[in-house]
Amino acid sequence: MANHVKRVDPHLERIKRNRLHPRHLELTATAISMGPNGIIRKDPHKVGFMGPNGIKRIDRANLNQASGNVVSQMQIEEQKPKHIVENPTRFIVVVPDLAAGRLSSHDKDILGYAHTLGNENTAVIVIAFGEHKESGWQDAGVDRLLELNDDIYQGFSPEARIQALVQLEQSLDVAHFLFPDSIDGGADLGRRFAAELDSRPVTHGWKPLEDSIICRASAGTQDLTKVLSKVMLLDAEVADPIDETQHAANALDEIELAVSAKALINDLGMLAVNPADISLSVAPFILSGGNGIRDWDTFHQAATVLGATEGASRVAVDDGFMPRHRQVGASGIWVSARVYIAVGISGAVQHLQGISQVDKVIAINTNTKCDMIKRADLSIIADSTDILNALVELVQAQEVSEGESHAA
Amino acid sequence: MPLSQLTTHTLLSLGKHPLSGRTRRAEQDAKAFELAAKLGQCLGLHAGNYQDADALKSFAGMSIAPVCILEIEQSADPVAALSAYFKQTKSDIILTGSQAERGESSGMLPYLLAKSLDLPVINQVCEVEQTEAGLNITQALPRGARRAISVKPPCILIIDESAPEARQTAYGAAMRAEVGKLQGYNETDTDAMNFNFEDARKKPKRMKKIKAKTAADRFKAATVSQAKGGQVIEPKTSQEGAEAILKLLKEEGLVKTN
Repeated sequence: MANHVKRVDPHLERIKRNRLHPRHLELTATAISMGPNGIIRKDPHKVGFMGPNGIKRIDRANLNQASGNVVSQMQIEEQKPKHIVENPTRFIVVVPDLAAGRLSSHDKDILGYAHTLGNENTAVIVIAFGEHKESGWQDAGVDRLLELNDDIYQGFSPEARIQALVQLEQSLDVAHFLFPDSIDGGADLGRRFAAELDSRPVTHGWKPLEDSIICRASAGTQDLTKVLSKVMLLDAEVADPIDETQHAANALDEIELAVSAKALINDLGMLAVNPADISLSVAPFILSGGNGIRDWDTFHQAATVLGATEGASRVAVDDGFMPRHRQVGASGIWVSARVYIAVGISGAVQHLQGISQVDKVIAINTNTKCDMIKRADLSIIADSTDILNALVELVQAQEVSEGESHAA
Repeated sequence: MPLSQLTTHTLLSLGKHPLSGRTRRAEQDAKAFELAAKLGQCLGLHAGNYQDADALKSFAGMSIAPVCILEIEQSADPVAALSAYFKQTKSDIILTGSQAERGESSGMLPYLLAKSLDLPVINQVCEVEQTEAGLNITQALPRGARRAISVKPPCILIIDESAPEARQTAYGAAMRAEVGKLQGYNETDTDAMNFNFEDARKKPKRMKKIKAKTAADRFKAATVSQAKGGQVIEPKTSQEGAEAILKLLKEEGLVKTN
């Protein structure tokens, strides 16, 4: 309610009317305005403010956010130019991995490459197989989006996916099908599709030339230049991702797919893997302990309950609490986990190097000034044993309540 | 009821040591051969020139199964030769590596063979078990995850790096072994004749691009440090701290949400 009441300061209003008042410019100046033809105009005389010594100051770096024009400038910059393909005559299809349900940086590089292949009448279609959590299609350079998340496309379902791609190939004029050449699924699906179309694909393409692309051959020890093919499997960093334009990402509705559910390959689902058996360098979730841990039994129990692979800092290994092959850091193992919980680790440079590939770091530490807390995405300042005990209790309580709800 | 005896073929190729460039057994094919040893009657098959027989003896030195060369010309397509061979000789399981260590190394051979023989193909296989219904296969996924797949033979299996290590090759047994010879079907691979291989160029490291449009933004990018710490919580109770951690783990999908 209070927001709707316009408060007027009569003193300031009078200054605004009086052009000779020393503070007049300060209150009326609007450096950026819309010109008569819709072009944004900047008045260089109206930029800046009076400093305390009566000298005019211009805050070019916007370090002092109090300046009144900041907000309007930000709004103008945030709008990316739109890239809209009204009547596409040609299509380029990108089939991203969507590892962990989102576009990976590899997927985004492929999308960037797809846009270098087309002209203004070429639309980039993305086919999203299975469930996903991605929402930033527009900013990644997707002109048309086909989401196929029926049951037959879930899990390992190459036969259904190939059928869908073949039908798409028959109904649209597709110039290229692009796949990431990655172990997350693109390498397999792309090769299956190339075999199905009986066309020799570009594989491990990494450096685009004008009408050809340099590919890695001989298991990465040689280069081979191939002409662009119908199906292309590309390495990461083949091109820069799209980040300066906004795309439509309209749903591709006009395509009717008739995919039969008959399959020779049956996916029986994921197997439970003992986290302790996963190699530390590829483990997705690591609970790592250091010098700050007093109660190692709690640490091991927490790792078991959370389903995390155990790691350790050098001090913990040197003191004999953990084996040498669990040491994380420059002299141990370089990890690439998605989540890394550092318990009682202050964050030596060598340790921070070892976790440079990690997405999210959680630090549990009592020292607020340690380097691990500067690196961490979430830091809990508390005693590690208490927090780990509370965490174990929470997870166990949740499992018990789940068990009851299943029984009921 | 005893399980029926499976016939297995392992496709062997010549490897190349990454540093010395010396000819050796292809590491992935050796793993495939090792896996085949458990699955019953087996034959190691190489489509190529019989001059390479000496190099292939290192596979014979593993003392798993006999090794045979399907002889084709230098310019011939091994897929066509293997396809013609398997149309005559039935095999329940064909095991291959994922890509060759020499030549185009596109990794297409198992898929093309599967297409021409109309067989299912499964990649990233790290374990195979024979059951009454067919085969139970464990597929190795990134980040240590494993998936169970069932398939009925005949099928083609592509071995993953994480399959069990291959045994060593014994030099004496390798030298004593006889490498068999079969006449293969020749079909010239015209595309591959024009391939021009060069030494691999080093991939440039991607530079961080500063896309500032104004001088002010460039100035800011150069001076203001971009590093910002994450959320710091000083919990009143340990319960509160644990809940914050659990929330993040649920967002990342590492702990089940209820």
